[in-house]
Amino acid sequence: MSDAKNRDNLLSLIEAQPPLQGRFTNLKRLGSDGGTGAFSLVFTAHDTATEETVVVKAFQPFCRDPYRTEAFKRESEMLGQVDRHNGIIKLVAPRTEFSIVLEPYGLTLDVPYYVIEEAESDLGAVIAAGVIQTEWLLLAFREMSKAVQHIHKRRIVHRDLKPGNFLVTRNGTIRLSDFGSARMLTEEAKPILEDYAGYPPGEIPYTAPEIVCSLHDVDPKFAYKADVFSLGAILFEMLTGVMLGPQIYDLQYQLDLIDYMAAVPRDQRRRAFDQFIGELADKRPLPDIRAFRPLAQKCILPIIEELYRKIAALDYGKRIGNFEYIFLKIDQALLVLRNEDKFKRWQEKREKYRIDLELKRERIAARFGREVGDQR
Amino acid sequence: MIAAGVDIDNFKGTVPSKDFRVQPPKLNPLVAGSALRLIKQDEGDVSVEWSSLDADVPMSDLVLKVRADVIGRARKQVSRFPKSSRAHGNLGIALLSQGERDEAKQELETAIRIDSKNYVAWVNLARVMVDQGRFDAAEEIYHKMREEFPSEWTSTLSLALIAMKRNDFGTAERMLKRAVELDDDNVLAKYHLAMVLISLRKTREAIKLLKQAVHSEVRSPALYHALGVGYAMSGNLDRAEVAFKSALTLAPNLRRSVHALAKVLLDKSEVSSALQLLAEYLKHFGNDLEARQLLGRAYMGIEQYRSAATQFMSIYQSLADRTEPESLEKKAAITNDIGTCLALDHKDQESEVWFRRSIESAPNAASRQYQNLARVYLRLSRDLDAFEILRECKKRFPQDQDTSLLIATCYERQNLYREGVRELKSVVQRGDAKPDVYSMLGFLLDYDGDLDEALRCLNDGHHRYPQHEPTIHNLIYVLLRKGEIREGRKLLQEHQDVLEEYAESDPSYRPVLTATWGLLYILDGNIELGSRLYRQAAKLSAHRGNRELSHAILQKMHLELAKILLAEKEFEAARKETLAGLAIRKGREPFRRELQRIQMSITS
Repeated sequence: MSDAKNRDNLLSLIEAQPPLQGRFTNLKRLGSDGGTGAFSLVFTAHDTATEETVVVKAFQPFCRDPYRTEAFKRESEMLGQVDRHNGIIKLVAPRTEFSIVLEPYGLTLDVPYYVIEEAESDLGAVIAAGVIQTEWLLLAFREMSKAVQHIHKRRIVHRDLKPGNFLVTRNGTIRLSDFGSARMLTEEAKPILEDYAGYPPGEIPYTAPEIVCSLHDVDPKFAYKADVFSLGAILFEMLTGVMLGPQIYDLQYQLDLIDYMAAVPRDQRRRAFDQFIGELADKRPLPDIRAFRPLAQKCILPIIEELYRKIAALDYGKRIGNFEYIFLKIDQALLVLRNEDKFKRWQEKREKYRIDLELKRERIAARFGREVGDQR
Repeated sequence: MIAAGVDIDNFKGTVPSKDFRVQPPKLNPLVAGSALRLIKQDEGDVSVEWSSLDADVPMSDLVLKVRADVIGRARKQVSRFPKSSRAHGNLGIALLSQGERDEAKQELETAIRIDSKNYVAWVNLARVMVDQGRFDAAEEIYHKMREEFPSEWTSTLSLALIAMKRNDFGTAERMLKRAVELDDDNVLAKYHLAMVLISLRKTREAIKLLKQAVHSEVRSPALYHALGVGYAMSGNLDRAEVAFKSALTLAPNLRRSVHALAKVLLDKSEVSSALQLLAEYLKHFGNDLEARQLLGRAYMGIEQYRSAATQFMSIYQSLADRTEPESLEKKAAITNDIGTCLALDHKDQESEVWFRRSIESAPNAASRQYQNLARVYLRLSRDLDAFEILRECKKRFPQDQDTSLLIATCYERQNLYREGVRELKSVVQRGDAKPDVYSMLGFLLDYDGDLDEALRCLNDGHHRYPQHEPTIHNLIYVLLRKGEIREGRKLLQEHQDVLEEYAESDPSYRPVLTATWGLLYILDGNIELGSRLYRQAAKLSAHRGNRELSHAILQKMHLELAKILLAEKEFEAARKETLAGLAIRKGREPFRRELQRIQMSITS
């Protein structure tokens, strides 16, 4: 039987389950294939306790990848620790299991699952549609930053920030989700599995260069600033509709990377990377947002450009990891945007004042010159 | 005639081209700019070659992951949102960034079909077309973009670059000047305009623009590098050095700046600085073959031929398994360089092997490896082998004048002067003969006994190349030989400084010049000083290891003294000089013939 058919049978079996925990009924696969995850199956369900629709995220029972198994377990645990923040998806029911029986084989399988609140869409879909209001963009980005700040305060790094992991609820609020690659950076924390050491987590187009070069293996704290880089990359995409990744990680980058980092022993990796990235940042600066003709109002672009350059700086040494700075810049942009007319008028007034002052100076200079001439 | 002929020790390594690679600062990823190679020709002209970034990226797990993720992420978006113009546009850009142009083009076209106002997709599609050489189609898009977005300078800049690619530098200059006028802070436009101006030999203007650009973008190594190239092209090597060093301060391992700085240092004869720079760089980037080649040349510059050969050999080893035509040509050049080093180190047998290997690698690549092998044979007195290899060379490169000169040398060594004359006359008749051909032809005509024709030929050569020292020298010699002593003396005194300078730069010429002064004094009647100068010239030549020339000079001295003594009817003394001249066995055949003639006339 084909994989698709097997998957379909499995999804049907789960849909036919009796109410989970006596509360989550009417399981329906999300989309035609039960979500897009390679190792998880996603269903919508009705929560009889709250009378709301929720999402059941179940682990693919045939998946034997130990990394994925561990990641699924961690995801619900992490979510349980941070979900009280408004910018993070709510955990409705923590991780538990139900059993399914595969009739033809007489096999009983345990399927781990947890339940989270339902979202309407995600940021990726909003960007793809290309209809972002500038004000919503700024507010959403502030919420996203707040959510990341919240998890950082709890010593958790997300390591897979991308538009698809910021869900958008029905009322337009934005929620951070998918903690599969997240890590708690406490002293005793170890890599999820040693086998995966050296392999960058997350998706490369949103991953900071230091993580691509596996510096997080040298010091896991690199992941804090790397999360901020991902936010910068998302901000660039929200404004321009273009992914930042391909602009950075092109063929030339790969050539440079091979030149510098190939066969560098682990203990020398950081020094080699520092040299590589310092040069790279000078050789190929970040692309200019304005070159991509963003749809946002022009008045806020200088502020946002400055913010993006500071938080998406390729060199982690020059990258700003301070969330207060992000909030300050977003607030500035919001202020300018909401008072655009006033701002324009102020700009015009300032320009007029400058010209008047110049003219006045010229007049005085001319008069003074004449008087000096007369005296002579 | 003791005259300037062909120096058989003049082994020729690969001629380093005076080229500099420049790459625009990556300030606007939407502009269809690409890397350039500016090559300074001997006449001061600058030729432009475009180079793409389609370098073979060595695959590693990390590179594979980067590629797969960059494209994979964009593909995922397309499968999720098949009707999103942005998703298709992003996939197109991702594919383009990984060098997959054809598929990128399809995706970008899909993005435009969904949303005809997708600016980013349009501009990237035009970029793909520029990369594919479809300039007309790209221009059409840029014109359309310029109409729709008149304030946007990306299209103007890209149109100027297309004009550059079409070698229409005038149009490119006009457009870029307009872009700079519109926005004085437009660093990219200034950079490209500077490149156009360098190509048009307006280096002063280019430098001015690049200085402005550097002031605006103080941390751009690409701009400092371009400024260095501007200075190097204008011949201001000191400032070029400073600019390249600035680029390397910002990006210490910027490959093209390391190469450029090394070339400038070698041009300035600061070989030890070049050596230090390249050795340090190669510690980290051992696989940079161009840098290694430059290091080899630096060693050659300080006559450390063994070290130079070692560098060239390591390049050869890395090319050993390559069989594609371009690599074979590179291999031929490198093996020729190895052979040259060994020949200059007087390892003739070893150098023969390498020159042979060079010829086998790419028989039609260049003539210099044949000529070098012939030089080795001439040095080993294997004249017939030299002649054979030169005939083979002439078959493949019939227009090569150096080959004809060496063939003429072979004839001269076999005393077949008439054949040598015939060989070189055919070159002169083509109308583009090099100055060496005139001087050598004059030399052979004299040996053949046709002094009038020799004088005519050398006068012709001198008229065409008035600064060519060997031609001037041979002309003076023939004038003296014809008895036009006043004329010869006048010319010698007129060009005394030039010839002295030439003797300083090429020590093998010193004995020849000294002998000529000796001849002039003998003809003037100052036999004692003349003889002394001749003996001094012979000693100098022997000291340099050229015994054949030393003998020829002494033989010539005896010949001239015999002639003078015979004219003064001092037969006994003349006879003694004749016998002394004939006693020199390794002299030259024309001198021997003349001495025999004098002996016969004394006897009669």
